[in-house]
Amino acid sequence: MSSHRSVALTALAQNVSSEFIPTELDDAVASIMADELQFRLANVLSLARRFAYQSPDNKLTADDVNEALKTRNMNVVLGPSSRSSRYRTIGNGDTYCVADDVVNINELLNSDPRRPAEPSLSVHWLAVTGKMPATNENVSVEALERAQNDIVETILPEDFDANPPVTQGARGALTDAEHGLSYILHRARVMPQVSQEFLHRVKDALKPLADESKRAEVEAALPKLCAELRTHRVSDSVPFIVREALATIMKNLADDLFPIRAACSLLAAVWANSSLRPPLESSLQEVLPALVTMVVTETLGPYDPEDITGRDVREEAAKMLAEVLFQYGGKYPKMQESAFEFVREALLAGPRDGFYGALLVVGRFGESSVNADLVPLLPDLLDKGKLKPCPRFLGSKAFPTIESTLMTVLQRCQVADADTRAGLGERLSVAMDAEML
Amino acid sequence: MSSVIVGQFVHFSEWVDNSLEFNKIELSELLFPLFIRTYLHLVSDRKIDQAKQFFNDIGTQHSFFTLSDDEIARFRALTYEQLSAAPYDKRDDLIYKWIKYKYRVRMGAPVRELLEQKLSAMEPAFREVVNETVSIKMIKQTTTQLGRSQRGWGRLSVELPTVDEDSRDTVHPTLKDDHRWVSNPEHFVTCAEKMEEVLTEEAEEEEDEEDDTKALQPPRRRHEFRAPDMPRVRMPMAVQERILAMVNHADHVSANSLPSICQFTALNVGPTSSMTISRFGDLAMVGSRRGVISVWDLNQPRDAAPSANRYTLVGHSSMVTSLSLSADNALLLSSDAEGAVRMWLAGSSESRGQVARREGCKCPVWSVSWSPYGLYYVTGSHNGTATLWNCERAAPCMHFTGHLSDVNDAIIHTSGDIVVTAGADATARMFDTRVGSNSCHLYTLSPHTEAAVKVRASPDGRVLATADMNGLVMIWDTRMGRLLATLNGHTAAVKDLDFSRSGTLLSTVAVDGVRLWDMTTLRSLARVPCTASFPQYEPEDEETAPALPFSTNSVPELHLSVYPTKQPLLATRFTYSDVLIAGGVFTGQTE
Repeated sequence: MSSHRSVALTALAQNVSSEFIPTELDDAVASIMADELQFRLANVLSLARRFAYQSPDNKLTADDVNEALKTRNMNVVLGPSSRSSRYRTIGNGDTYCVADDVVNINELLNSDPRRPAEPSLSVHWLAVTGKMPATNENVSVEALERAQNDIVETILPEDFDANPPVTQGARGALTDAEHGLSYILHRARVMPQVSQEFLHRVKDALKPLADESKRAEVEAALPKLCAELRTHRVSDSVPFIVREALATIMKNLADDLFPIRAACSLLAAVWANSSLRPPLESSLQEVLPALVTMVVTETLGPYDPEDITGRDVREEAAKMLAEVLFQYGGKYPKMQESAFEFVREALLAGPRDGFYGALLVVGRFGESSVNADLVPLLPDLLDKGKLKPCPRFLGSKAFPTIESTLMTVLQRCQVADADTRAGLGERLSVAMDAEML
Repeated sequence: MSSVIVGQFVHFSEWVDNSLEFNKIELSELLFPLFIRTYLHLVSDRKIDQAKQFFNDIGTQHSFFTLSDDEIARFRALTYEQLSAAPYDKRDDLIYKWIKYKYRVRMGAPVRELLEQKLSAMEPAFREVVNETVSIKMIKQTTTQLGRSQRGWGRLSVELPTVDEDSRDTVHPTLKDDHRWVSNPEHFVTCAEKMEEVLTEEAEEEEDEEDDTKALQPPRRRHEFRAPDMPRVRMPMAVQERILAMVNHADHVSANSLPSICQFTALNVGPTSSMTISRFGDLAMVGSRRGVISVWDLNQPRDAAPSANRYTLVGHSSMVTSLSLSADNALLLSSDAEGAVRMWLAGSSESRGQVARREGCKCPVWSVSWSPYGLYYVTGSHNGTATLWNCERAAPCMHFTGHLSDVNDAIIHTSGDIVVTAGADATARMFDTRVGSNSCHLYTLSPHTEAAVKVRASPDGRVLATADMNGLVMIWDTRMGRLLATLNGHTAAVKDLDFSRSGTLLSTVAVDGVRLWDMTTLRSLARVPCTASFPQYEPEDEETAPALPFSTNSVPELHLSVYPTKQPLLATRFTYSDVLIAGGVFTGQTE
């Protein structure tokens, strides 16, 4: 039985041949040594396997074998390791050493040393009264279902039908009437504790909304809250938190424009945080129409005596809309297209409330958008006399005149050349004057 | 005959000296009266020189001389003539009392059973001496829980200022006949019977005594099994109150009301080799391959800096293989791959650090585990032995041998008297710590096909759970060593397992997550409650044992739930409030 082992040993001896070890082992010697070698190898490997059990993933590594050799009082002079496996030869080629990198001392001195990561302990709920919350720390629901299925296959009786007549019961219970078995997929969507705490703080910040004198505090608190460190821990719950916060805002106030301004402020604060922004992507279908509506809608909530056109809100919404489209326009071209349709319609509709918002959006999009979307429309609008200022806005601080708004947009984006701008401005002034007369 | 008694007494005193402290305090109460009675035996056999030598040597050695100098002098001057003189009033009062009356000793039931077991293996003559010398009163509590001043025991049963013939009627009924120093084997009754008789009569005598009447239970003839009424060694009052507060606020967990599971994940701790979590849920300890133990104290405020609630214990020079935290969170035991076991002050933030170091062998110690009541701990090592240690002694108390390979895990049973080991030879073994010799092996639990890696006892002691490298978990009846069920679910080696406080749930962790198992049925199948002593395995017990309602090969009904985790787990622990904590490490990042 040991013949093949002795052959293997002979081959091994040939591979490690040196002046101290004969190149070829005698068959009798190899036969005797094979048993001994096998015993020692099994001994070391069984001990190494026990060391491997100490590691979290039970994987046998070279370090485990080294530990086993050390326990057997065999020094590991040279051999593979889990940390370093590069060797080079020195001398006449029969001496090996670890191939360390040669580093320039000046580079080393000037380099920014890598700071070791701080050990920490993370705590989360794996199950709440037996049900696993669908949080980022836990495995996905799909993996959980797979695991549940594995169990069902594992523990069911041998004569169990692979495709049983299983019916979906209440609360996710799977019932197999034939075998009288019932399995419940233990899952529930529970927001992580960190997110819950964050939501409470957001709600606390929104509490003074009812007091008009403290509205400035709210507007200042939200960006501050969203700019805190470690907000990445709540990123998974951002859509829910935003939705809850908006509901709180709307619940507290409904009589003026401030709720919308607070909502805009919240969205802007969330958007400004690079950790909180990505989760909003899944909610773009909800966010984008709201923003477009805020920009181009004719009626933007109850009128504010100070801001009859809601310019601040429109400005903020336009800013966000532009940022959203900049961020995801390339990824979702249809989204950008549909948003611009509304903007274009608002521009073509003439100088009503939405027109100003559309102007702001176009201005936010920059030179190329103004040149592509606004400038070609202007002669047509001017020729057809559509650019009549809304009487309501006359004297308004927010939108004094269409001319001034347009000029602001054009100047901001440095549209065309100075002559074109001057020409357009002149024509605008003439049109306005004529209309006013 | 007297020389036999002397030899037996020396043997008995050695046995008492080597017994565990739980039992030693009560057993040592026997030595002084037996010493006096043995001395009197020598004198009555006219072996005066031997008696004086015995009196000096043994008395000095064991510090038995609680007598006054006058009394010692009277004992030393005792002669055969004085001892055999008649009538009684001619004798020395002191000597007369020692001859005629019994010495009262108060003893807990487990210790009394242990004494019975020991005496049954000794010479009949010595058993007779014990019978005629000592009156044992059984109590529920152990004497270690009572102050010596409160006990009022350790004196002769009857105080007689004057002695005359008439007063003999008032002495103990068992001693009405003239005392014969030479014991008669024909009249020998078993120790248990004698004690029963004595105790029954004493119970009648002391009916009017206030508190201990209920504690006077007639001793059983055969071994009776019961759960430990109270911890034999009490914890500090503050710790007890803390535990009680947690227990009182705990939700009852069962198969119908699964527990909440909190997962602790250690990040950036490097290669990890062991982990443990406190029963209070406030300490998490991670041992690394480099020998460093990281401790997280979760009692710190949540907004404290990350480094404020963490500290390291440095001392081991190789892989930390096992960690065990005492029930009161005060002391941490750790073992390493070079055979060292270290004890640390862990719970207190004021004083942390190593307090002791023990080294039994130069091979890896795979497991270290505290006794449920502290003081003792047991280690399992690569050399195939388990060792029982007293944390107040440098030398080991006992070695338990029998495994053919490594002892991967060793625990002390809930009763405090049994050591259970899990070995790489695919067996689990049970040893009786009270016997203290090579005959202490009780059972071998052997249906595992792979190396057994973990073993745990339920809180009530009824069942044992063993786990192996294949992920199989086996449940055993502690009383009979009978396999009750095999729990098949894990696909990898089980890393840890723990019973809930009520014993109705079993939690197991492995690489593939946490699993919960229902233990309610199995606990009812285990025939007896927790044991204080174990008879040898009796085949007829198996015949009379209740039949199992299912095959032991696979019991799907017992599997309750599985919770896969993203990271491999190393430890699981039910807290005193029955919240399950699973501990793991983040392995995605290496140093």
